[in-house]
Amino acid sequence: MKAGVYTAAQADRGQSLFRSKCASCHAPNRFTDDLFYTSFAGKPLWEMFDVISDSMPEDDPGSLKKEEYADVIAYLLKLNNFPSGPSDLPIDKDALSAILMEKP
Amino acid sequence: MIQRVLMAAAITGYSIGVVVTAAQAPTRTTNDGVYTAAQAARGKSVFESKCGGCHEPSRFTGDPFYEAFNEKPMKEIWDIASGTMPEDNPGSLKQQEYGDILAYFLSLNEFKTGDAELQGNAAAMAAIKIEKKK
Repeated sequence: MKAGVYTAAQADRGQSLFRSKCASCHAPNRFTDDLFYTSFAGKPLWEMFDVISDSMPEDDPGSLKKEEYADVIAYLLKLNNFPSGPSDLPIDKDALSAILMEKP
Repeated sequence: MIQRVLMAAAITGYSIGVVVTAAQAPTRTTNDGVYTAAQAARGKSVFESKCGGCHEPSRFTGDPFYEAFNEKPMKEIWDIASGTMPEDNPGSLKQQEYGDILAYFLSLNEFKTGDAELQGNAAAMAAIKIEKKK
């Protein structure tokens, strides 16, 4: 996570998506609080991707493209002040499983 | 003297442990008439004002409901609802309001009603197992 696992441009795309697809139910600060870390800290980033892409948006789960889910997660990482890097956050399970979510 | 106090504490702790364990084994199921119709009606009102902005009632019936909770104690859904919802102010409802909302979910799934209300506390929820409607 400290190495910069998403790009700034990707987080910007994710912010737009979040506003249009997620914000009617979720305040952004929900994804920076203790409950968020209780759920996902110390786990591979794949877990978060799996939960979100399987269950959200609640009225049409899985309806975003995989790249869009990755963009939203990049935005969540930015909210938590993780550094951006040279490459977009990937969408495949192996790559996401290799990234550990930790507290910033 | 110190040893005796510690021993007494240990014995008390042990007996509390036994009681809690016994209370946590579900003794009834959702097919046993564990809520009232009036309670479910109250729960519906609370749901519509506090939950309906984000959640469709259909999310809590049929497959989505059973995939998450079938064969589990009602305490599982209780912990999630009372611990994390409403998302903008978790735990802000009264305990019995959370119980009423869960009673509403049982009515959505067409479980039969009974004479007594579903009690809005963790111990009561732990004593009821969710199973499919018979």
